[in-house]
Amino acid sequence: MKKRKKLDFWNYSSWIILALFGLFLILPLGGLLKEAIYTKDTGFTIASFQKFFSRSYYYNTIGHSLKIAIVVTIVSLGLGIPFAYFYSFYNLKGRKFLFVMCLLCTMSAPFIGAYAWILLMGNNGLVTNFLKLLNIKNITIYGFGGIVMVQSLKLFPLIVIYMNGAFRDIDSSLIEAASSMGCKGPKFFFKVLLSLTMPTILAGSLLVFMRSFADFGTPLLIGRGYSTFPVLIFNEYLGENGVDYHFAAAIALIAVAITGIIFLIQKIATSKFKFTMSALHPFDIKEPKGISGMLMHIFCYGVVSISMLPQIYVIYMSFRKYNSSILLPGYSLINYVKAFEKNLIRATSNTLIISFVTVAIIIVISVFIAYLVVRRSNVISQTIDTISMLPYIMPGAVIGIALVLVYSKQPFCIAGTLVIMIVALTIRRLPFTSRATTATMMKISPSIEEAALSLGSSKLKAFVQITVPMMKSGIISGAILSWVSIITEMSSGVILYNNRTITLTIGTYVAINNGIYGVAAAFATITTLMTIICLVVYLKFTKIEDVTM
Amino acid sequence: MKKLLTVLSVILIVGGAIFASAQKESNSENVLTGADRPSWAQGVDDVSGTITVYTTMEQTQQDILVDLWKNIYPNCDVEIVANSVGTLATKIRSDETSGADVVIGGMFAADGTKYRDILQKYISTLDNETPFHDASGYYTFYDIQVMCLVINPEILADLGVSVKGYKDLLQPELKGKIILADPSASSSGYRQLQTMLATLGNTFDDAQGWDYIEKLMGSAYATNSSKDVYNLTNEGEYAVGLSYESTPAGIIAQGGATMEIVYMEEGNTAMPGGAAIVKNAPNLNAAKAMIDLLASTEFQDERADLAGRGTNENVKASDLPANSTLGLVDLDYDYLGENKDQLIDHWNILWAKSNS
Repeated sequence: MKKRKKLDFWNYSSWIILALFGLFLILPLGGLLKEAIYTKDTGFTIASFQKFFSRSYYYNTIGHSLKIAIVVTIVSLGLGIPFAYFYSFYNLKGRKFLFVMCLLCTMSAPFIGAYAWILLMGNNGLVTNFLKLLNIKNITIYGFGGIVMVQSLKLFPLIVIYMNGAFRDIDSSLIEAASSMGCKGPKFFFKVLLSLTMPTILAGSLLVFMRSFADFGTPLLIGRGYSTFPVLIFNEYLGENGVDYHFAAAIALIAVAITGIIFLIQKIATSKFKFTMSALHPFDIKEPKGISGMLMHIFCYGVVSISMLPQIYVIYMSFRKYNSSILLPGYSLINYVKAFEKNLIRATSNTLIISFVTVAIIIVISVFIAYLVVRRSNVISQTIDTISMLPYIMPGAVIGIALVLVYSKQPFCIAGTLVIMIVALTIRRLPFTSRATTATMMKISPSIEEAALSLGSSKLKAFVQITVPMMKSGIISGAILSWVSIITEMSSGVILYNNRTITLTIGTYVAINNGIYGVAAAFATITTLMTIICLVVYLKFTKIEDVTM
Repeated sequence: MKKLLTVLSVILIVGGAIFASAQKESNSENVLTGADRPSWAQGVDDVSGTITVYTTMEQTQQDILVDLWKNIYPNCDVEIVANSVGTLATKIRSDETSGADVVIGGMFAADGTKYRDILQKYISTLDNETPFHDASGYYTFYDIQVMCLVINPEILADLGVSVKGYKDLLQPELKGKIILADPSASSSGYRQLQTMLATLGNTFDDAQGWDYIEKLMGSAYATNSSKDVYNLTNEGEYAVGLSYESTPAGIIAQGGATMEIVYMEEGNTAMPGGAAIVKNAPNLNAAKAMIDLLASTEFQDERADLAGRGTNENVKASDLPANSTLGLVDLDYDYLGENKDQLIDHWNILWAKSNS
């Protein structure tokens, strides 16, 4: 009798999680589909899809976005893999500092970074004018090249984080075997190291690809006519003229279809590299010596400083004197005073509330999912596992629009409340954290829990008091990194926010939109400050290398 | 884990306390009373609570509006949501709890019926003080929008060209130095499109007008935000921008700007723009008071100081050149309302052609 009751607990929880997914993921996706193919006037129609594929300025955006995402992925790999190699195999000076800077690069608030790049490398930018003095002309941040540069510098740290973990899993015996057989230098790097880490390279590439494909702030600000998919979705949904919600929904579905295909390609590619490693004998970290050591330092510090440049410039800008949108000579705190009038306090407290609640929900759900998938593998838990990966292929704007479509009408009107922001962010971040917790759970031997059970503990108690604490380090690192990415999340929020639910990143976006750049810089500086505090706390509690995104 | 939570909650509390103490207190000392109080204004105690204003106004105009409002209705707080009108309309449509009371700005006489689903009718008590009326009864106009070019004189001097009108923009030196707002994303971009078609063709929307536009597209970049047009020209990113007049003129009037305004020698168009009350406005009385305030000489005079063309007959003259000097061409609002999609589609097709 007792056993049956415990079984019910896990059954109940899997049904509850499934119901939550149905309510907040499947239902909105259905709403999106309905909006795309059904109108009140004409009933069922594929007119929106026809419209998209009949005009080159619509369907060309697919090509643009794919091209950007592919090139950004390649450039990020080109920067990230050598960086991770130097970092993992050599004892570079100021390693910790380097790693924290690397994390900060990728966690910068979107939008403001692209604006800082305009001020630095636009037609009249600081760097551009300096280069003009050296008689180097025609350097521009605008267009395809600029988008690729800005996105790559922001996304390459993801590759570094992934690759560092993978390099660390390589057993030193494999390296010794390779070198004893005469495999050295570039051949060793490509034949041994990259082959051993191929699954990670593919996983990291997918992540960079998805982020680049879904980014709308960068192409919007510096694309200059190079229109991309997310920009098109935003224009059709939030633009001033020719707004067409059915069309926006149709484009959103096309976006999901494309990212879905990319996801499948990655899955197939990864399945060709099925092996697992865990390093019993970690390799020794070498001292970087001579010219090659110097070059390593120059490369790593060079890349990080260029990536940090816009953020530092934004902080500097926030202390410049502005009169609305006009930059005046001199320095002042006026931007911060103005930012207070523009709901800085509300934005900060909203950001804290949203991020804490979201992280708490994500932790609970992902721990449950991990347990169900690893220990109670059945049809329901496998379904949950698959559904929970769906948001991975959904750009933030798509999640935002889908939620608004379903939850903006009575009786389930949660649009315009913090609840819908929390729901959107939970959906967005859950796949990442639930992957990490599932991986952690797999490493925990069931025998420990069984020991607790045989000593008379209840199943729930064994779970809460034995299993969960053993997952602690995985949970904490996942939680804090989720927290940071929630703070800097923007694309779904732009669709969902209003004045009462404004957050720090949305505040930055709104200020830029209104042309008050100084205030935007002040908002962004506060955001950066919060990320730094968060990273410092993180470093207090975990080993720095344990970062998982 | 407990330690972590403690640290985080300490950060939360300390941070909150710092922010709370830094919050500014609002002052309500300059309340207009007695003879100073405008005759159209409601009583101080009649308007209270909070009014939620969705607006396209930029910062300086918002400041003028809020300051004046606070002087007349000190008991009613103002919440401002500022964005482009498309975003504002979508937010009102998709959020039953938006709480929006009024939409100020971005509503033009040639809109046709497109925003009526989110608005309600209201005719200002000051309607007899203006020659501009919305026949449908939804909009109250407070602004006459004319168009202009913003130029960056320093960049133009470097390039060695001068710009007096649309035709000058086709000079080869200006290739890549011109910024305009995308008509499919921005209302001022659509207004510039109207003005080009009205002043450069023999008749509105004819081949001659479109021929010019196609040539211009080869030299120009399109942005989604009308604010980029003048801000980026001012910062020297571009030599010329195709803009609307009031905001850049206001920025220039405040000093410190590099950009200058040029009125096209080919001519111009004027369009009344205004505000309206949102359907089911939670604070309807305050919304009505706000519309009346926008129509009043008190507001429009202050706006004229900053550079704005008012609709009220009694508004004082601003420093802007008089309407009669601009070579205004009449627009057919009905035609614009009906053919908007077709005009913008035409633009998009040409744009894709010249930028592929």
